[in-house]
Amino acid sequence: MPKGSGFKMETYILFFVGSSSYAINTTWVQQVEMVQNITRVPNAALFVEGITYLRGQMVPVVNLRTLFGLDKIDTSIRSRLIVVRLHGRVVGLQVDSAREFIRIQEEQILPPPEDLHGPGVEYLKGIVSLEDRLILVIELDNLLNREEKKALLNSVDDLEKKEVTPGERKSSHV
Amino acid sequence: MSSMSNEGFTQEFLEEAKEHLRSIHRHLLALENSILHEGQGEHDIPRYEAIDQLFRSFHTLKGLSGMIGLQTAAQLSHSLETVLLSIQKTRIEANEDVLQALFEGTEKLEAVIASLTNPDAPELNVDEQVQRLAELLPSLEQTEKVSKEAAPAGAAAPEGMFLTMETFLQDVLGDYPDIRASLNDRDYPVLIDAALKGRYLWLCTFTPTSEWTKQGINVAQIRQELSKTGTLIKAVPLVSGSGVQFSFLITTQKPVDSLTFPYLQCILLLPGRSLPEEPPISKPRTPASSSDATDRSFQTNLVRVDMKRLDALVQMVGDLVIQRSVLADRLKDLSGIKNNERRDLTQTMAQMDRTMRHLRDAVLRTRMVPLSDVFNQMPLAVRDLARSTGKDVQLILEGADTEIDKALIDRLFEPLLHLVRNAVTHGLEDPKERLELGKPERGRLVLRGRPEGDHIVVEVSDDGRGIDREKVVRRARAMGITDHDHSATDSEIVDILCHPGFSTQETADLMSGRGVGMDVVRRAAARMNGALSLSSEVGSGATFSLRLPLSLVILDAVLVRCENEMFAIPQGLLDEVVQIDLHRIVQAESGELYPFQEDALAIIRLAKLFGLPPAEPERSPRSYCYGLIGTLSDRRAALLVDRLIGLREIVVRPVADPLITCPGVSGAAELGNGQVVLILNPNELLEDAKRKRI
Repeated sequence: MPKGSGFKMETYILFFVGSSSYAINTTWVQQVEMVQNITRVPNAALFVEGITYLRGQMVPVVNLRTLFGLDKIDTSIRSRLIVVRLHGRVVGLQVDSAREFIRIQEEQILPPPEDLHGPGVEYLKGIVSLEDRLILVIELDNLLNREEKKALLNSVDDLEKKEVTPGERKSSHV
Repeated sequence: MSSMSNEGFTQEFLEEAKEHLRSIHRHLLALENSILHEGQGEHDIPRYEAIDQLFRSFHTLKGLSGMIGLQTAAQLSHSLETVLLSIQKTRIEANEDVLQALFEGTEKLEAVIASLTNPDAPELNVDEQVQRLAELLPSLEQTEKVSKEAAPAGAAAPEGMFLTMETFLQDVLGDYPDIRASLNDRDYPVLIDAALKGRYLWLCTFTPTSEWTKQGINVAQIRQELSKTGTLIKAVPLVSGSGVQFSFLITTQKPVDSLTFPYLQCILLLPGRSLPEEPPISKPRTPASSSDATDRSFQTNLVRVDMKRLDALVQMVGDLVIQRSVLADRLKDLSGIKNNERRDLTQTMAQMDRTMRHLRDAVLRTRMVPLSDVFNQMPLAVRDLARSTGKDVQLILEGADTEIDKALIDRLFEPLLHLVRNAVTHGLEDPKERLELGKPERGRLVLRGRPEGDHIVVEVSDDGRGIDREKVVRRARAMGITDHDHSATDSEIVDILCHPGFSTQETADLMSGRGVGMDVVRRAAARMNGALSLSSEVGSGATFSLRLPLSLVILDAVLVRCENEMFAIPQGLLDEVVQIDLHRIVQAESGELYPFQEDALAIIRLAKLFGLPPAEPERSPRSYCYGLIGTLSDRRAALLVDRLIGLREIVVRPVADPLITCPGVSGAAELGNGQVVLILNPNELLEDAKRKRI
């Protein structure tokens, strides 16, 4: 394979949820753990499996099956927790299995076809065809930031609301 | 207010001043070297840098001295600074005469500052040094200077000196009236603190354009970025002409290069001290006539330790605590050993227990700071509040030496300020009204700290109107917040005041405005595993008490089981644990009740509140379970759990991610075997249940 700046290979971790295979860029992956010792958190969102203790920190566990709208299954010896860190936040993603690392070129990732349906498609960055396998590449930002975005949007709203309050529309400069 | 104790600030000031004086010594010597060996050899510090550093150090010392009211030091620093400015602007040449005057001035400055540690020392006169320094200045500046100081007779403040908050603001934000106007008394102490700690103060401005928006750069994201870089004090949206700008006031520990965002225009308002530039302690000092004397006079017997190191130490002790309890469990389960062997092991275990306790206490003590750290920030706020509301307030600080964990004191400021603000604004009457009521004209506001077992209590107490229960209850009933009658207890009044719905109502005239923002105070207390309570007498005042654990990190907790889940409850938050006979629970209209001490306890089932899936039924079902009564519940409600497991030391870890936060859960702990338990605040849970009417 020709080497050059135009062919940047990046490592992805390959995992399975239901009958589909997904990939996440390992830049964000901190570690992969067995699924154990998860404590339920009352009144949390459905896709939140609970809380677990990893390396001195309490970490939320998101069940990707539930998040993707699939039925819950019992954890097995193959179940894994992919621990990701993004924007200073650490979250464990519970998946059915995760064993393989693959190298993907940025150019190989194609935009998802518009008529693509199925679990988790709203979180996709794109799709990759690799040796007859279709791999769905997850955009972690999409996955994690839904809740947070809402909260942030509110805070911006507050700021911007303030700024259009008629009383505060005095001439100002900085 | 002038009688306020400034001890905390003085100590901090001395520490700061000492560091600046060290830097001044180093740079004066560098300057001397560069003058004496002009153009020869290599100098550690380039001349321009020495001058710049000297200027900054004197400038900061001037500000600090002004703030603690050490006017002679401020005056002298100002003179020294002015000379350096003139050198910098090449109005005068740095020659041996100038250098000598700078040395002498510095020596005097040290003496003046050192005299602070000795209350009996006579006040030192700096006129001679000030005069000598003034003579160095070019004639124009000299006359300007003299006329300025002559105008207001006596102790006129040299220009630019931070004598009061107003002059401080003028000095720093004079060019930015909009920003200045947006600051309030909550921001002032943060600014002062930043100045004292040598932080850099920046004004960063963001002008949104479609280009930035395309790149995904928005206010929220900038906030996040800035919060990573330093402490964001204020975000101010400004309308200028047709456009909008957002200005951020931020303090950083690191100098210039820490703030290089392409989308922000950053202006340095207040130069700080960059930590790495401090001379290493082990570096042999160039012999200087006065430096040793200085160090002696400043001996404070204190060591500065980075909080991170203390945090790491506490974590390790926490791990040790957990490993010890695992060991104790294993020992209990150990079979097939002789009795005397078991006895020996048990004995060793008991000894280890004691040592562990001592170790834990000793480590936690290193993190303790006096309440004065936060108390001393209040006089300024009270003064401003009193002025703006036309009240006459005497602020009294009691028990300011009571100690509390450093991590807690930082979180105590905001709720405390809230209580103080409420007391001044709404609790105390204005002087005229007080006289008519036969009260002293001057309102009394007491901030009091006191230890109570392994907790501390911080009280905000005023002798104002007090809280009119009847009116509060009537209003709350009308709003459908409560169904209490007029006999509501103080604790029920707190519940009402802290009800977010109640808080946001216009209630100022009705119940002295105590509701405004009270939910914020309670939430802050709950997050610290603490509790908020009230005692009030109509007409004679109100006292709000915050009861807080000494430490946030390691707690004694009661472990309980409910259905299949285990939970930990800080012992300090439990008033009592009652055995509940399940057959005697009565179903009433308002919910389940349990006869208890000639009264009835409302029963709140934790399983129901948390929606816990039921556990497998036991072979011989129990006929009793346990009711937890929180410190604040007035023995009127109990939280029902299935079993008590026992008392255990736990290490509290924060649960911060929005995905796993839950009302009534203040953190989580790992028990040593990988299992995580949630830490519950029974007061909050009972309150939450009431709100949800479960």
